[in-house]
Amino acid sequence: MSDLDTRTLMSVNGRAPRARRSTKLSFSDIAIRVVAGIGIVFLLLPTVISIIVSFGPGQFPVFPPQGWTLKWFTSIDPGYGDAALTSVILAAWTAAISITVGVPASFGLARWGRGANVLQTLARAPMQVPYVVIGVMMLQFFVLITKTTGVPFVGTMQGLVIAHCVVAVPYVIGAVYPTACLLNTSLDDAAYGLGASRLYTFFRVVLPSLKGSIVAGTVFAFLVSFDDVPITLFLVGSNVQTLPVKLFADTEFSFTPELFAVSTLATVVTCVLVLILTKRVGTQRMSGASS
Amino acid sequence: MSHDNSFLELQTVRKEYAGRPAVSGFDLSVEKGEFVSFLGPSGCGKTTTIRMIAGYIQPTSGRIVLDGQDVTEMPPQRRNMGMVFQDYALFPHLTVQKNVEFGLRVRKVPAAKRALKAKEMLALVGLAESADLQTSQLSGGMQQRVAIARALAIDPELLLLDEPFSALDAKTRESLRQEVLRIHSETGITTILVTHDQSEAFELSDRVVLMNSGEIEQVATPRELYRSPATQFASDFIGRSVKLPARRAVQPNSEGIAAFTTASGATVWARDNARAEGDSVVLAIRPETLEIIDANGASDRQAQTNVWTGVVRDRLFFGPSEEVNVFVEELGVELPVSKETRAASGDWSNGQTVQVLLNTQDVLVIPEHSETKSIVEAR
Amino acid sequence: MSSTRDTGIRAPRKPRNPFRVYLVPLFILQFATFLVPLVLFFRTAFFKNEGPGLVDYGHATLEYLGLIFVDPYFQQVVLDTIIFGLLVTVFTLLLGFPIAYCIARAGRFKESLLVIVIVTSFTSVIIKVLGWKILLGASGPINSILQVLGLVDEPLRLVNNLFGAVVGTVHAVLPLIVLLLVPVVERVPVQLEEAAAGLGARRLTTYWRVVLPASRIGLVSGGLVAFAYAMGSFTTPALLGGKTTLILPILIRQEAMTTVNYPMSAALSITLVVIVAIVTVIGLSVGNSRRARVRESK
Repeated sequence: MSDLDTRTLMSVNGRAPRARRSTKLSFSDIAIRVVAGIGIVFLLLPTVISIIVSFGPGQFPVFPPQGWTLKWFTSIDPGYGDAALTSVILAAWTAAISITVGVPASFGLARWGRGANVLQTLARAPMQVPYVVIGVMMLQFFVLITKTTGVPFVGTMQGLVIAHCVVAVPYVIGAVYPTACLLNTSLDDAAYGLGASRLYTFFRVVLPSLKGSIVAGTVFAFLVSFDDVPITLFLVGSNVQTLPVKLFADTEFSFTPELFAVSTLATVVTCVLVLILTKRVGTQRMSGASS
Repeated sequence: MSHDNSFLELQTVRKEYAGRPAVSGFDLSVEKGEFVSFLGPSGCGKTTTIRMIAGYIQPTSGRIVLDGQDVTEMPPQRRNMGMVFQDYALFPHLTVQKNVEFGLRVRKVPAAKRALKAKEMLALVGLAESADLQTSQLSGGMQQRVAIARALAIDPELLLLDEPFSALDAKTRESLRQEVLRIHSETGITTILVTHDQSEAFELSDRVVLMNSGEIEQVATPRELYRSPATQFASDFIGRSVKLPARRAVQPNSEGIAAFTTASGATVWARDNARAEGDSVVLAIRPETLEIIDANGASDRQAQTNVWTGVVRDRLFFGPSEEVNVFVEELGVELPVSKETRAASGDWSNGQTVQVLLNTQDVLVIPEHSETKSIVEAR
Repeated sequence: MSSTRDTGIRAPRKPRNPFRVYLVPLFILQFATFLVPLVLFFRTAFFKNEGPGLVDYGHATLEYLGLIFVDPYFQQVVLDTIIFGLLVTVFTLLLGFPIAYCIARAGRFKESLLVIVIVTSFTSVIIKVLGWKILLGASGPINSILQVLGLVDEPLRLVNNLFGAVVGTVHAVLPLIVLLLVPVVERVPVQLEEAAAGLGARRLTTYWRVVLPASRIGLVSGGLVAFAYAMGSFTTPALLGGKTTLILPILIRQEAMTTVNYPMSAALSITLVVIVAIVTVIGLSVGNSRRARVRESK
């Protein structure tokens, strides 16, 4: 902030400072960078430690590890592999359905007119309910449905997909709706004037303009599903187990290096995915997921 | 109301929003190949009207007839009109060529023919080399030309331009105006332009529709509009003028020159046949029609001419023209005498007494409480 | 030269807003899979529990909700949950705002820092929990350092208790809040800080007296988000809180899965949702009144 110092000098002395540009950083600049650095370290510390620990040889995970080995990665219980696969399939289905429902809905909301904000808040209501509550309520609901129709939902993929979509769709709307609101309606008019029907215009003009947000929304929906524990916990069964829930259950009762190895793998994959996406889609869009 | 060779007709078109009229009683007949401008201040209804022609807005009542066919209820997709928007509205995810091809693609024209037509249109607007560029790589003026090419690619019956140059800087606006004029003469397409810029409307149009508060004030050629504004609003909006309220005093003579008495008691001679004795009017005087003459020359003039004595108050220099403000006591107003700058300009200093001459043909006579006329066609 | 105008056939009148139909799948999904289960579940709170998983819908009762208000066991749980929520909120804001400020004013490092924060927000919660278990463990690095420095004689119990739960949850929600607060800081024009500097204020003073007050509204929003998150937080407190941290989400799960007492679970859920709703409403109205006051003062 040499500009700041320059101006301070100017206001104090009443005349322009000498032409030499100050390249020395002021104390406050350094302090800012240090605090930011500490913050980042704090955010990253547990994850980094876990990753490092997963390479340690001991039966009991310690930090710092007393050696370096890959053995925990090579001897992972196949149950984890199945669980991971299930999680991926589940997340893919969730993302697909959430996008199919959420993207047109976001566009419809953006063109709704008066009351759109209220509707949008209502559409995102599931985000306000604690996931544990959603988990229990879906469990009870599915039990009821199974009792009356005989169709199984608890412990099945379809049950999990439905439950995940409930919370994933609001994320899609959160990602796509703001961008949809900013769309230039002249583009639609131009397309109509050139002979395009409303549907044609939606697919050929609107969707391409929303591409970035749609991609971001897809990833949000995927990750919300992939990482979920509280909801999935109530709906897994003997045939169907997801990775985070298996990790959760095993962590509740044990503390083994295998846990670290599996978590490290899952985390690395997720991080790479998010990194690539953030580079492509921009930090603006990605940071909107939370709110 | 329909004329035999009218290509586009608006018959008593009216648009109301919540009971209040945005456009009322709009009657217009446009010939094939004509260039018509809708001119007026913001909120006068010109954009609403062109959007009704295009089909984005439904009239509350009235009909729109294109080439003999009633299109009032038709959605914009089926009207086959090419519209150009103020913000260009180019599709950002498509290249320039693909933008131009869009309408053809909708009509399922095969790829080769599409490309050919697109290239032809781009050549027409002078952008043949930009076919593969992204729209974001083009300047505003170039983007608008692509928009024109895109609109023309579907061989539309009408070309509609909604304030197409408002978003551009002055120089680009000028060159684009020339382009539009050229394209119009090359293609002969019936064109409607919406603008608030009077000089733009005058430069491009065969006829100008002057609008105010949702109603048509006057429909005339640019020259007629300038020389004979029919209403107060028209005389205010078109060009500059000094206004003098007056009453008809003396009957027009054999040459049609009548006398008007101003509020200050002065007599102004003007050509006018339409007024009755005692009628209230507003006389409008345009700065460029005034002339400062030699004091001696005054005596040569005939009896019924307008020559007034006044005192120079101010001289303003604009570059290509200059203005001398002369206060005429008899009239009680300051007359801005405008003239082109020449090397041998007369030199008048402040406080100097001069004579100002105004030809009787140059006095504009406007009825005082002029009703807005639906059609005043003066060709 | 094809004309797409057909002859003589009038198009039907256009519907009011044709895009509203795009919301139909969403409404159906939300109604069937969210609203209905939610209402049915909450309804359960008012009926008698006959046994694990069996609810007698013929027998209406308020006993479960009543228990929550009256029984000291449940009162403690509710209190613990609220305290937990408040602790998490306070510390998240205390840590989050300086970090957000530094990122917002970091100049050319801002993008990279934001990327790191974003990646952290998407990192699985389990690996973070595992990391904290190591860090806070009796033989973990923190305790080791404290012992080496001679500050303590024996290892502190930092995990499997409220402390661990709070630390873990703060860490989990921090990236979210930082991402939320960075735009808030960005909205405070740098000119304000420069003006303060010109008047002689040092950076810290400026931070305390200019930036922080200007960001009050954003801080309230961030606080509400953190509170709602903490109140609903399950995974982290369950794994880091040990047996002693019994907060509502954990109890809800216990009642639903272990005891299988749906009415109790539902009553607890209603309580949780109501508490969060009340705090949110209070927070929003505080925020709005501030906004109104700011507008009036202009």
